[in-house]
Amino acid sequence: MTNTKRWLDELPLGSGERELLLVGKAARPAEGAIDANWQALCATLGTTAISGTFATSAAASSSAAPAAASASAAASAKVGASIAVGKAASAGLFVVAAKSLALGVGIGLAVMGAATVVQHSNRSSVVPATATKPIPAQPARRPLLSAPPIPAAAPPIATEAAPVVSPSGVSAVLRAREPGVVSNPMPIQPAAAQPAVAPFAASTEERTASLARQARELAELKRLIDHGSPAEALGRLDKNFSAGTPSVLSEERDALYVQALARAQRRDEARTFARQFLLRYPHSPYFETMRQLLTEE
Amino acid sequence: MIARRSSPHSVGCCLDFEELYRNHHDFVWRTLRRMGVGERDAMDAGQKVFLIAHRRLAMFDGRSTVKTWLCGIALRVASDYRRSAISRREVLVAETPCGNSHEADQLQRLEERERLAILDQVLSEMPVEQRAVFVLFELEEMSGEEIAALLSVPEGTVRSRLRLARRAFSKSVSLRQSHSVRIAAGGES
Repeated sequence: MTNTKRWLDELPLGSGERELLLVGKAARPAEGAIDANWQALCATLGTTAISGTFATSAAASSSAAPAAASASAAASAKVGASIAVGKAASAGLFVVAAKSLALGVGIGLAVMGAATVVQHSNRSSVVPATATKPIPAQPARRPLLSAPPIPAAAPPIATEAAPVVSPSGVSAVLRAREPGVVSNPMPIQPAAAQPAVAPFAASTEERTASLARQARELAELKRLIDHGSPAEALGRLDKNFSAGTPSVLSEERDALYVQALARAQRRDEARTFARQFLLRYPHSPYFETMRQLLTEE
Repeated sequence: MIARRSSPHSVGCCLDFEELYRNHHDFVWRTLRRMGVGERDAMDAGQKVFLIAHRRLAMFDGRSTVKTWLCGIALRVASDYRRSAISRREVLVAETPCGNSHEADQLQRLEERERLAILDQVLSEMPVEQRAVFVLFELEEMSGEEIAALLSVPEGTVRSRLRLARRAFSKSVSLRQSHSVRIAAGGES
């Protein structure tokens, strides 16, 4: 196999195969996707868990641990050791490193032990493998962006190897665990709790009328935002969200919500929701607007 | 070099996860896309890959490169994706070029998108085993040995799958070209 040449080296210039291969090799995700994805990962896993270099000895013991020790416990062990190694490396104090490492391993093993006990005592319950801390129950206040789902936007991916992600996908996990959300925590809405959408039940006329009405509402909201009444727009959008009204224009509606927050000088919330927007609609025409909102001071 | 260590176990514990993520994000995304994950879902699927990688990092033993290891996870995620109902809905999604770029840029992007769509169509016509070998060898420039180890097949099998995949690829491209020529000729007459 080592002597097999790449096809690109042999294909004549200008051939159809060559053009397709070249474009395939050069393909990249949308600009900003790497950072948006990283932020989502941090939100899902907890920033601490992935911000450092993992310690060898702690994870060696983790990998040698019996299957009963859950992955979350192993992750906790690594986090403890990671903090230890990070501190030691920056200070250059090997003695401190050794002590901290031992502390990290100790904490890790203790957590692993606890996890094992919990697993034995409650085998029937499903424990999210990568969750380093339980998701706190949040009072349902604002179902922004989680309101009527776009079919292909945040779909469930059935993976045996990853029972980590909730049925509504990573974006839903993010929505629940976004660290930046303080004043308006967004709840995960179970799929069953969402209003049943029957897009083909209504007649064509009804659907057309509904679409026209939604478009008018959005235009009105846009006008309010542009003419200095973002608070009123936010109020209307909140009402819309709490009514759980399904909308085929949910992407536009969510974008307006973020813009209204920004205009209302609620910058932190706007950024938080902009991040979620990028995750939910990575190829949206509003991508650049959201990215600018995230990057501007 | 974080990809390979001499120690037979616990290599993953020495890896910086952010570095691993940033070094391999695009590769994972491309692999998912070329293995049939829809554009809208590639981001979620990519996150799933890295979530799994994060969980299993301590178990990474260094017998393969990090790239190969991640690729294995990505192939499984893509396989699950294809089996799920999502892929059937993906065709309904229209992609919109984004940003404030100039018209010429947008035209170029559109052309690239069209070519990528053709590439994906051509790849989707291949049996998945051939498709995996083709994508990894021709697009991701992985070695035959790496692919053989990843797919747990002999190198000879990789070679034969690659040969068949190239043949199928050429045939499909030729068919499309001749079809386009016929349409163009019909349009002119």
